[in-house]
Order: sequence, then structure tokens, then C-alpha cells
Amino acid sequence: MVERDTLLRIRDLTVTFPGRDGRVTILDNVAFEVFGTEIVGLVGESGSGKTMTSLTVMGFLPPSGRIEGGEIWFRDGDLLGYTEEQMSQIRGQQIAMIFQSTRSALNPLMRVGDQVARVYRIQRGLGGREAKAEAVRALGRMGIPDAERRAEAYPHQLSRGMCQRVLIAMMVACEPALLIADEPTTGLDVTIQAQIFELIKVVQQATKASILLITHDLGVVAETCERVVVMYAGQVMETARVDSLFANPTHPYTQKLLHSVLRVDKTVEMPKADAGINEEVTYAIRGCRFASRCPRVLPHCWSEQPAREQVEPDHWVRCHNLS
Amino acid sequence: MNITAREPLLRVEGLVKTFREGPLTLHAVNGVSFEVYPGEAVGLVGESGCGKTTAARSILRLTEPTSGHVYFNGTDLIKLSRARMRAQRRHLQMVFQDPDTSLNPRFTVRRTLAEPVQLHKLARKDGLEERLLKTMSRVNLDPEFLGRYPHQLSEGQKQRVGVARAIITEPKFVALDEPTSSLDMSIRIHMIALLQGLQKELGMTYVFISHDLSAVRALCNRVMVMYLGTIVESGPTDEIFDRPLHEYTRALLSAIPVPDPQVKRRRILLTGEPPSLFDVPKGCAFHERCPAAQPGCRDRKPVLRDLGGGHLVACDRL
Repeated sequence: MVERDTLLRIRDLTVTFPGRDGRVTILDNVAFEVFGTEIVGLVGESGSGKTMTSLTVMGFLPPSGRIEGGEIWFRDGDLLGYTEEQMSQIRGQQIAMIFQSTRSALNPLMRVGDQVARVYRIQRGLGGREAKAEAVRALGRMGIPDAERRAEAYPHQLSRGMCQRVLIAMMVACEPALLIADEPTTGLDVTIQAQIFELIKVVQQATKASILLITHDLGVVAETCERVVVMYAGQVMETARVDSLFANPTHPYTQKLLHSVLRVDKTVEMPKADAGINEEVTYAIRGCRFASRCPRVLPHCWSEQPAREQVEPDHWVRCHNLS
Repeated sequence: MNITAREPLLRVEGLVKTFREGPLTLHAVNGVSFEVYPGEAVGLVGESGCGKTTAARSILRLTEPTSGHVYFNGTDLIKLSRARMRAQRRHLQMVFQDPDTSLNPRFTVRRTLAEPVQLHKLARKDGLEERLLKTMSRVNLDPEFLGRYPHQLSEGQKQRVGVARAIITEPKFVALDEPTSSLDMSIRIHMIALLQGLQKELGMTYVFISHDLSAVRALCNRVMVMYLGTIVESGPTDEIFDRPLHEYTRALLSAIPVPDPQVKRRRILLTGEPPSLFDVPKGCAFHERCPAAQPGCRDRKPVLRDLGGGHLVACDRL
């Protein structure tokens, strides 16, 4: 396997938040990387830490959160060592993020064209008229019909799908090397979701950016991503190339996840009623946090964290009981 | 099982629901007719704003329909007085999309579940307790949850309380409005399995409203696809999923990502977004976005026709 240039390398990232009985470890030794020009899926269920990971990378950790340790290497610097001023240089120019809620990410009192133009003024130093013209062209490239007229609209006058296109236009204007997209199609209908993912793929190919795509939809992962990082309760359980993960899921959590997937292209067999299904995500376990639900749990799973082991090229798993 | 030979449990005829907003009229449901036979699970699918929830609410008269008939066991529900409709409700229940807004936050699970039993006078004191315990076990909830408030439950548990409230009166018909959309993926399949088991055990008939077509495929034996307030295609589940005929159904199905990197499908990308419900296009409502539209589609509104085997399509091109 050829060593590819690593764009983002997260190592042993641990983040805690205050809880009822002391601090809760929300991210526990998170480690994975994003290479140049690839789409990586970050999957997990609610509470798995996928959004918190991306917020930490952006330097947007809420004030009550505390980074207990770890490194976030972006190109050749550790983002955790950067000042706020250095971070704001990185944000926008190098790393950009699109959020789940499209409407709240746009300024409701500003015409969308002006919002895109503002990015061109700040990031590229264009003059007002030039920036506006560039913004209208960008909106058109994002598949917004009648872009000149739509540029004069306020966010509430556009559909959510259109707002997401505006946000992608703003992101493209920054020409970031890394784009973090946090569930970019939440709340959109499937036919619009398909349009947005098509657009994201086209944009990625044109800009050669890498994308960290946060999603809970394994279908989106299978169709959009090259590699995938599986998180559960703040721990990274498995990272692999997409085909290798679906063909050979190795962590018991990943296996459970792939077993519980419903498909539109064929009828799936229903699982046996799992009366003991524990829905609560447990952050208190010091070892592997899947221990409480794991069918292959061993006594030391509860107390010791498994090391990151390579099971095949580019396929890493954390599990004490690899079978 | 030859269901066509039997009497339908529910027959909906020409259901229309419009809402007035100042000078404008919003056409939510534009003349929907269908039948549901006893023991069936029928999926009602489509994207947001297609009228699927309004249709279900109108059938149960949670929203009064503008016109149309809803025959339940031969009785037209629309003609019933409020009091007689209320008495019918024990047979027709609904599970709502968002348990956070459909469960009273100040009621314990016990009170939420006991209320319908008491309203319909279905059990006395000791009978009530027995019924509560039986229903809790049917939805896989530990009896200790009876004393809890909604905020003390997880999303999956709350939604199971919603299901418990609907089935505690042992209804014949249940409308399920997106019961899985608030759930995480590993919980979702268990909810579907639970609903399937309950249906068999209690002999209920379902209308399952969802935009989650993979869940519909797993649960339903028949599917109806809605677009802008009308049914554009309906038929047996495998028939619709494997041989969709309407261009909208084909695009909708092709847009859903398949969790298998080995499967390569051709995606039909629709252009634009659904038109406004205030201004539904004349003729076929889908003609502006249809890749196969012909000039005639603009003028004539297609009707649902049976193309064989109970596969109905509203498209004049076929």
C-alpha cells in the first residue's frame, strides 16, 4: 500500500465534560486520520461523539468541555497548540465545516448572495461588485436555478435544500483542504438528499479537498465514502476502507450495526426480539464501552482499553476478542 | 391469502383536505381513494408535504376532511356525531411521529396508558393493572417504567410508550405516523420487528406512514406512493420496490442509498423541488419534473389504473 499524505491525524484525543458524578469522558482516546483528496465517513449513533470530534477539530469545543490529552495534527502543526488567532486563520481558509441545521448557519437578516459575497471579500480580498458577481456565479454552479434572482433572497425564502446549496457555495469559496460536513442532509427529503450528495461529490472532485462526512446512514457511507471510521460511546471501534468494512466487519459493534440495517433493494430478515437491548450509551466503562452490549465480552474488556490493531491493510480495530 | 375476496376494513373514497390561508388555498390531500383489508400492513410513502400525514389524520378525524368518505367496517366515519366518533376511537388508534410532543410530559407512563382504558371503560381497577402489565410486556418495557415520566426515558422507550398507548385499547386499525424517524439505526429495526410481532399477535391492521422506504419494505405487504396530495402508484410491496412503474416512484426508490458497496444502482436525479401545495400544477401534478413527460401530461390528470396483479399506476403514458 502506498503511503498517502496525511491531511489530518488525530491521536489519543480525550475530552471530558462535567457530569453529575464528576467529569464524563465524552471522547476517549479517539484516533484516526484523513488522507489527501478522499471522503471519509464518520459513523455512529447519537451520543457516539462524532459531532464532538468535529467541533474539537474546528476549535469549537463548548466552554464546559476540557481537552484532557491528545493531538490533532493538520498538515504539519498540532491544532491543539494553536492560538485562537492562528485557529481563525485555519478555519475558513484550510478547514471549513457545514452544519446540520442549514437555516441557523445562515444569517437570517442578510441576502444569501451577500453572505456568499462576503466570503469572497474576506477570503480572496475581492472588491464589493466583483465579489457579488463571483457569488452569483458560485450559486449557479451549485445548481441554484435563476441564481441572480435567488441571490437577492433571504434564507427564509429558500427551501432547506437551497440553503444547503448556499452553504456549500460559501464553503467552496474558501477553497479549504478539509471540509467537515455534519449530517448535511438531515431533514431533507431523499430526492433532495441525492442531489446534495451528487453536488458534494462533484465539488470534492473539482477542488481536490478531503471531506470528513458525519452521518448515521450506512447507505450514504457505502455510496459516498472511500474510508469509514466507526464510533461508539466516544471511542473509535473500527476504521477501514469502505469495501473492507462491509465485506469484513470485525468489531462486534460494527457487526451488530451491519446486521441491523434495513434495505430498500431487498427484504431483510428481522432480528429476534432482543428484550435485553440496552439503549443507554455507557460512558462510565474504563475499558471498551461496548462491553455492556457485546456478545463476545471478556472479563478484562471492562477494565482495559484494547489497543488499535491492524487486521488487514488500512483496516484497524480495537477489540480484545478478535475472532 | 386472497384478500380481494374479503370485505375491506377501511375504505377511503375521494378524500380531500384543503386549508385556507388568507386568500390562498393549500391543497394537502387531493382526492385519495383506497381500501385496506383486515390484517394488512399498508405503507403510505412520499416526501414531506405530500399529504400522507394529513390523509391519515383526516381518516381518524383528528383533522376534519373537507370532503370524502371513510367507511370503517361499513360505517361512514365522516357522518358520525362527535360522541359516536369518540366511541369508535378505541378501534382506530394512531402512533405519532414525535413522542416528545405526543406524550404529556406531566403524566407518568402509568397515567398515559390508563387514560384510554378508563375513557372507554375497558377495565375496572384490578383489570386495569393486569392490562397495563400485559401491554408493557407486549412492547418490551419493564413494568418499573410505569412510574416514570417521559423525560426519564430514552427515545426508543418513549416511542414504545406511544405504541403501548395505541394498542392498549386493542384497536382493529392503527395509523403509524413515522414511528421510526426519531430512532437510531440499531433501535429502528427492533421497532419494526416489534410492530410486526404485535400485528401478528393482536391481529391489527396498519397504515404505516413513512418516508423511510427501507422500513416500509420490511414491514408492509402493500405500498401506496403519494405525490402532491394524490396516490400515484400502489401495489404489493415487492412489486412496487422491484418493478416500479411511475417515474416518481422510480426516482424516489433510486435516491435511497443502499448500505452495500457491491451494489451499483442507477440513480435518477429529479430536477428541482416539489411545487407549492398552494399552486398544484394542472394535469399530472408530476409533469414538470417527470423525465418522460409528454405534452398531453400538462392537460389531463391521470387516474389510477390497475395494470394487473393489483399494481395501480396513475400515468397515462403506460
